[in-house]
Amino acid sequence: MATVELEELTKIYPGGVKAVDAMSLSIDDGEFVVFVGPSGCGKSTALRMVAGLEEISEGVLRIGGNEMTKVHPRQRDIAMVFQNYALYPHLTVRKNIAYPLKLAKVPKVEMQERVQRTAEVLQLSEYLDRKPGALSGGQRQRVAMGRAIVREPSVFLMDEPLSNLDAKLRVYMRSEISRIQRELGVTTIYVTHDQVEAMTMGDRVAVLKGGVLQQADKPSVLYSEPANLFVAGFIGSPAMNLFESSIQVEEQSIRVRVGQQSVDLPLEYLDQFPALRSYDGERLVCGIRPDDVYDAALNPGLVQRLQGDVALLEKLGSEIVAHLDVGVRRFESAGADETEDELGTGFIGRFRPQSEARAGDRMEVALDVSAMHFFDLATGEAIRS
Amino acid sequence: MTNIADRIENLGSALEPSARLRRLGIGRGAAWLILIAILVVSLFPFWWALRTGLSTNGNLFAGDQSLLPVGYTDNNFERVLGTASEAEILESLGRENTGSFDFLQSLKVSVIVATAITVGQVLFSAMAAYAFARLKFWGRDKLFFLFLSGLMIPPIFTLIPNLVLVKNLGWLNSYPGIIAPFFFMTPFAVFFLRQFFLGISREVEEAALLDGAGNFRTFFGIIVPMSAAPIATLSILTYITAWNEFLWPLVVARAPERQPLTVALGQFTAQQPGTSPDWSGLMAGTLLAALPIIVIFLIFGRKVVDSIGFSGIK
Ligand SMILES: Nc1ncnc2c1ncn2[C@@H]1O[C@H](COP(=O)(O)OP(=O)(O)O)[C@@H](O)[C@H]1O
Ligand SMILES: [Mg+2]
Repeated sequence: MATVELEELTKIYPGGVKAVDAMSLSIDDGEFVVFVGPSGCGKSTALRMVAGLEEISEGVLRIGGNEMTKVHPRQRDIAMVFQNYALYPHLTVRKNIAYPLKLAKVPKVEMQERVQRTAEVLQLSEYLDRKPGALSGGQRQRVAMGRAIVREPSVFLMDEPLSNLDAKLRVYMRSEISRIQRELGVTTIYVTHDQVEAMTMGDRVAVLKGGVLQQADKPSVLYSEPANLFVAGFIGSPAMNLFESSIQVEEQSIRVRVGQQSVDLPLEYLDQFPALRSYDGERLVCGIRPDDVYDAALNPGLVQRLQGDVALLEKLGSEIVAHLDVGVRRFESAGADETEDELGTGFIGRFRPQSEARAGDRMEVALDVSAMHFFDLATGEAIRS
Repeated sequence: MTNIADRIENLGSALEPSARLRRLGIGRGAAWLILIAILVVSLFPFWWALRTGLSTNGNLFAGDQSLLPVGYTDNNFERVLGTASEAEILESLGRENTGSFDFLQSLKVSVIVATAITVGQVLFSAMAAYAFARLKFWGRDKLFFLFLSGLMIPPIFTLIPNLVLVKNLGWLNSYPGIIAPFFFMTPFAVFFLRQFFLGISREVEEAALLDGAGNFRTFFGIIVPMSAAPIATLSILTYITAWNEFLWPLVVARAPERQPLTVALGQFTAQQPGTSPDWSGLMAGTLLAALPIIVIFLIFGRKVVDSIGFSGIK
């Protein structure tokens, strides 16, 4: 067990691609950290630098306080689980799991004991004498886990280990991996492009984009206090409503323009975020999560309202996802991931199932304005000071 | 709706059996006919060799239309194996035995030479192929293409230089001399295995690396077992090629006790001054010489075909 410290870690591939750019992150002993970001953002590269599978171009890596920047992978005391499991197809499950112990010259009796114990933890005992070819995807995945945990390494690295499983199994294995990690208390870095996976599994989530670390924090903080437009748009599903806007500080309130309409924010907002005052009369980007957009008919208590045309309703039973046209276009932050549920109307609300909204109708929505986010138009940074 | 779908399905299955049968009947029949024709064409030479080998040499020309042995005798085989008596030789050959060779000794030479070449060539080719596929070193790809261009050099070009080299090493008439030029690798084998190694998931090797295996261990413990199928195939092809090699042993192995079967058989026919060739004896010898290869093929050929379906996990 160990801490992992990335200090200005940089990877420049031959050919000049800067896959990871000065990434700094301190990971506590026993912590479960998830690297998340769109495909090609450098998650795998960052992980592989920690593993030693990829040379570190610049920066320093420390594991357990010892510098590991140039240490051979074998000597880093890490174990890795790969996306495609990377099992040895000619060896039985037992031998697959025992392989690292065999190479470490662990005595035979102890080796058998440890393999047995690992197999029990992963519920693999009945499959020990099968070859990987005769296992299902989920079982192979567990063998790969077994091969990693049997070594009792000080750090686990996992690169999209669940991406080849079907949705149901994936949800199950998520909780399994979390459980095992908690039981063993091993420092873990987990890579995924799936923000739901990241948010549900990580003690802390590091969001990457274009090789640059955007924000690393607890899932709840990423959700409620995204550091910039990218994180705001990437975390959460459906994505946060983001649109270009301007604010006007008035005597009683702050007026926020929403297309042709406007909503009022209490002045106390300025006490919380004094920096916002300097945007008085300026253009900026405003964001509000679909969770904070209500059907006004069901929430008479909320007085800040917008009129909008209902373009589409997704009735999911437990809730209704409404795509609305309130007269704003979704703000496309440079390089942000295109969210799949984009209709171009750019404004989504999540209503309770009792809502009587109908597609094609004009309706009134209520906003919980205390949960509004503001971002600088030029830099995309959240205005949070 | 389900009703209609069901009915359509039933309709389909009602039509199917007879239609399928008819199609299969014609297709299968044609396939069998073609297969049988190919089989006859490819097996006929073997039968002709066997039939000639079982004939008496003197009667051969009298019954050259016959598909069956002419004047049946198994003396020819005994003659080749060196177990025939003088009288038997006279009877089957019609004269005294002039050309003879030590079949068992040549068989031994063939086995030793082909085995050594196969082991060496497959081992070294595999190692080279792995290096070309995976290890990182300066100029690797250029070196590989240079090496590949060796495929284009006709073997006859290297015959004389090799001969001079082997002679200077004092290896004429010796196993090392016969084996050496084929022992290390051939561009083809390296190319063939490299292609396969390139297809092996890199993750598996990285897993081995993180599990604590070095290059050698990864190669022998993971890569080679995962490549059992292509390595077996290559081994068989190499063995057969080595077994059939004629020109090189002919020039380096003049001494009868170092001649593999291919060369010794050639001597067998060449040693008949002024008489008609000993066709029966030659055919008997040829069949016996081909026998080990046929056996190897019967044993391992099946495995090779099976192993092509060998499923690695990607
Ligand atoms: N071996 C390599 N050589 C050159 N460029 C690479 C290599 N591996 C990855 N890259 C590039 O580096 C960037 C980050 O890749 P990667 O770390 O695999 O992203 P992710 O895992 O987040 O999808 C991508 O632009 C990719 O094309
Ligand atoms: Mg990746």
